[in-house]
Amino acid sequence: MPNPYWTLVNKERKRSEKTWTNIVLLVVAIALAPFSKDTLLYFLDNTAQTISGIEGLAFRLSALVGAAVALTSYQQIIRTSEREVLGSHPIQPKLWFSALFRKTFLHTWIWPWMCSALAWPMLLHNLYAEFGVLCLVNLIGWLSMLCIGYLVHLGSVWVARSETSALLLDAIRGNNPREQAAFIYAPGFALFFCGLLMMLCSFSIDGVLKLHPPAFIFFVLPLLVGVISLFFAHRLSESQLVPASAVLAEVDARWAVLDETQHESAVYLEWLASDRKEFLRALRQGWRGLRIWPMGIWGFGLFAFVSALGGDLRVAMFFSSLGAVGGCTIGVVLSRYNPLWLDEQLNVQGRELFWARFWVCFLYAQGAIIPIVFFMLGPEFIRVAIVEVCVLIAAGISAYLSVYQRKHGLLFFLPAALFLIFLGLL
Amino acid sequence: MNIEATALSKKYGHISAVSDISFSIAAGEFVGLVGPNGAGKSTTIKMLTGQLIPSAGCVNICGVDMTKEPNVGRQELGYVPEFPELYNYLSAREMISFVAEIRGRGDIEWALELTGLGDDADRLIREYSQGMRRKTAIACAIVARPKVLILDEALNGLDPPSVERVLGALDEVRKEGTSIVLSTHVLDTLEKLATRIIMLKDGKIEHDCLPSELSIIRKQFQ
Repeated sequence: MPNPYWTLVNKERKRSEKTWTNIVLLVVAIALAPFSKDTLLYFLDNTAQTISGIEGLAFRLSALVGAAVALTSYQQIIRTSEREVLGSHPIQPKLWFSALFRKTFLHTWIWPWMCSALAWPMLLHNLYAEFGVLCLVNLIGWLSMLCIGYLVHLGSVWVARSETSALLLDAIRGNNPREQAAFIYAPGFALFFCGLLMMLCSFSIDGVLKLHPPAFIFFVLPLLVGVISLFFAHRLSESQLVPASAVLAEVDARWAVLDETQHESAVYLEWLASDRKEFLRALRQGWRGLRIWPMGIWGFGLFAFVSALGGDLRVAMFFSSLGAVGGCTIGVVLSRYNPLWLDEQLNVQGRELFWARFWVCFLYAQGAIIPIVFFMLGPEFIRVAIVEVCVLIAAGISAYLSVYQRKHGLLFFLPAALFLIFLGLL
Repeated sequence: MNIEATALSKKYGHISAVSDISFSIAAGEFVGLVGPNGAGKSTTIKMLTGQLIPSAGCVNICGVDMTKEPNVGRQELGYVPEFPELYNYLSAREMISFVAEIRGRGDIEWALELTGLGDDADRLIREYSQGMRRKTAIACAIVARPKVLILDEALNGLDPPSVERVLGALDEVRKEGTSIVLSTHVLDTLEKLATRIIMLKDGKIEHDCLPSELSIIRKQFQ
């Protein structure tokens, strides 16, 4: 009997508007790779550092793919919008799980190739085997994180529902509803675990290239763990996939109660808006509707800070630039939550909207830059200044597209942002 | 009894949305669930359908505990939420067929006919008006002829002829023995079809009466 949920996925794919975002990003990554020689591919001109450079690069790229997949799998299995449609009907959990997994697979399969594309100049230096192994590491990172992510997210539903874990969740939840704590920490745990596995995998590249058998064990270890995780995730889906809807309803209802009692001044940066209405509206939308963006930018700032603290300013600049320029995407995203008819009804001028979103982008981006400023005083400060200039340009482009190119803004912005990220790293 | 709610409560922190309500609904009963905004109607309905876990008490749908086995209970439960979500890239016929497939049974043509979707059934749902989306959701809820049908403000956004048609459809399934719970603000609707009215206020049952006693509830609303 065909899987009815998978039939739906196929129909959705056939009938949805084709998006070229992934292909465009792949092409842009290929085009920009030669410019990343001083940052990502610095080892090409230094033969003594070649292998350690490749291992480090493989670890960073695979961790990046893993992080993106962890967030996507959470979105696909826990926060999937299908819950709203299917919630009123009996669900066959294992069939639905299978369809969701395959959907995430199809949605993300190009990501490891995008990351690998950033390293293609290795081929110009005759590092064919090394490049092949780096591609394999990215593929392993993607596939293992896909499987581990599904297990961890379903496991978080089990933890959220478990009476025995209530005390622990209460201890770590802060202001969040108890059940939310399980969902907050699950991706972090998945990332940490995957990071450890990918570290073992990446740093076994040298051994793999020298055909040392023990190195192969570490190399494929994430994949083995991934396969085992998928097996258990499939089994866990039977008991946890459906009840997750009730847990989410609980979390959302509690958030609604918290929101009702939340004071106006709790909006991030609201004190800067004073009497500028559009700026205030954009800040409120950004904080209340798209909180993951400013928090994500802080996350990049944290990574940058930790890297700078460890003395690796190059990596610190990478995270800072990625978080700050990438974070400017929020300008384009804001327009999706703010329909044209509403702006017309409110008689909002395009210029007002532009400046409101420009400032939101620019100010949010500082969350990824400020944490490393202290480490970049002196001659290094010029590098921070360059990133700031890139952020100004990105904020301007994002705000412009959000006002004058609402429909395809994201498609135009992402390549520009990638270019600016690399420009900031030069 | 098709629906049994016993000592049902729902609290969010110190806020009590529903407090200690109990009622039973037999086969063939059409119960109107009424009350002012914030009375706890939607919370009660979400607990009945297993969408929300009660803080205390339990709900049985056709003998199945919805807090423990919501997926099993939904086999005999049709539900139309206040804001129904549908697969926009399907046609109504495909959507209803899908529901019939995952429920393992269903009369698609009957559901389409009963809700008056016939002529538009093969258009994609993304092209539908709000009223047609609601009719599709109702068709999905009744297609497998469940023993219990719960509708949360399901008549909102329908034009008067569609309301008549949907009410006619609900009356038809009720006569076949389905228990129906309809949450609404439009008391006139209930006067014609309901066999019982439950009024909630501040999370508690204020009245549990016959439709002939609707005048008492009208006064409360005023």
